Amino acid sequence: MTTQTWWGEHHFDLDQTRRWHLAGLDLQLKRSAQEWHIQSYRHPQQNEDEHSWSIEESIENLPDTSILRRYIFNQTDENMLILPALADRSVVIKPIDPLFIPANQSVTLFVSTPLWLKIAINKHEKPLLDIPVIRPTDTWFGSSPIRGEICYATKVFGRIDLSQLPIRAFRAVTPVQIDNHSSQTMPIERINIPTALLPLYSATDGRLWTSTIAVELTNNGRIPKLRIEPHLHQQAGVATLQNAARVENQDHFNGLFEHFFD
Amino acid sequence: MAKTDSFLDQLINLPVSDKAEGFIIGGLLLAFGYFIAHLATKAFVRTMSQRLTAHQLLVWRRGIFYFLLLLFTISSLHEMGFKISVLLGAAGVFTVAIGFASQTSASNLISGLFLIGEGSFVVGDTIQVDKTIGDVLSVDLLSIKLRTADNVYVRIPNEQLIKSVVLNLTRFPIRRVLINVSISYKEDIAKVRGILLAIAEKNVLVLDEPRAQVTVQNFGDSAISLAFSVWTRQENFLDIRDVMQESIKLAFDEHHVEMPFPQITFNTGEMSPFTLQLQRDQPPTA
Repeated sequence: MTTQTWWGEHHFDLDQTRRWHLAGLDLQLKRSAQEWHIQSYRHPQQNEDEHSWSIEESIENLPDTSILRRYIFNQTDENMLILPALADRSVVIKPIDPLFIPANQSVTLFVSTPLWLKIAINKHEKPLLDIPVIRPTDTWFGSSPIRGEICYATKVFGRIDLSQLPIRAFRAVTPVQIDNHSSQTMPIERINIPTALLPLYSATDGRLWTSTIAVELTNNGRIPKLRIEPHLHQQAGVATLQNAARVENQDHFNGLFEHFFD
Repeated sequence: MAKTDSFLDQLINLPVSDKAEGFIIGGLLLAFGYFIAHLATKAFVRTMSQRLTAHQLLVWRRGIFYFLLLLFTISSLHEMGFKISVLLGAAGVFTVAIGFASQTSASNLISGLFLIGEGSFVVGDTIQVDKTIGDVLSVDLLSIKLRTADNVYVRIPNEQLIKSVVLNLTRFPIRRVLINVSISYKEDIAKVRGILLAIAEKNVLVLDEPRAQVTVQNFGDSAISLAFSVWTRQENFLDIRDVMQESIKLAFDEHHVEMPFPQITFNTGEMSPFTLQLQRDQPPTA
């Protein structure tokens, strides 16, 4: 069992209970001979900036408003996997201060998106539970209330220096490399990060990383060209794959990026 | 008359007259056709149910069923010895008579075709017709069927739908929730606006974009009317309308914002107001 991270494989004896305090989410797992009890309690006030966590052996009861889920097996396994994952819908990031990229300039922005948590028996099976650690706000991303898609919203600083981005336990870093080859200044009000298409890696410094998204704006087209880089950003260092992309099929990739920028 | 026997005639040789045999074969063909049409539509639904929407499935199912049944009916009439061209001619005369007799049904039938073609709503949508709100269960040739929130089955004739305003509540993925809030004249509008927007921001089901808005509607007799609008996914519409109103009440109580009752100020026509005297009971002396 690792103590540096809140995810990983955990061994449970019979009738053992363990509790995870993850920012505004309390999660309690109990193993009995034929059942797994997964109890979750979400604090009424959650804050995206909170990143404290702890794991403790516990027999205390969670508040009455917590949700208990029972999973029945022929015989329960000794181990349970807790995995970090990316959001199940795209996340729209909004720079706190307006950002502009003048003509013929390139930049790599380091942005972070909120994490989900998966509880699974093993990596190949469908998870028993898949919930956000901190539930982000819903938002609409599109040109009008008729056309667009439902996403999650989060505010970011849009750092260009990785060292300025604090290591936060419940957010994953996505490098967005923007090349403006057009003759016009490119305003960045909102960026739609297609988290469902990105794999998630953990680095040795405790950060979680996703693949880089490369955006190129040329003089020819009004719509920027986009691609997901197959390699991790060099500043990630040595990293381990934690979770593959939720959507493997990238056929609708272009459609998804139709309005990458608003 | 030298008549070449059809394949079926050669196959089946019943010990009855030719005419009776034709009727029997025709009847069997019709029953068989009904069975085949039924099987074919069932097989179609089973294979295509994943690919098509409920509405498309319904239209295709009806189309295939009636097309196959029509083919078998024509061939069964042929077997019975009717001449189709004569029948069609007679049908033309009949249509005029039937048209007068069944104006309503015909009008519903044509309205139904327009409704299906227009596609303003499909099976599964929630629509409002006059005061009836319900989920569309089926769009048929004569009427549509709705299921209301009280689980009541409602049949609405197509003719009525063509004529009246139909609201499709689930056409777009997001909806605006409008809440009217009345506050007392002594309240600070900017402060109240801040409280309302903070409530919207705290709720994760309220969309970040389009933004929540607070606008001053009018100066009423007893209160200032504000319109508080937030956006949410259409499936959360009812929940958000409920939760937001409760949150507003709680937040106003916490910040001592007054939501006034109707008030009337009496004036005697003179500049000076009434003088009021409070009479209290004398405390009992021991």
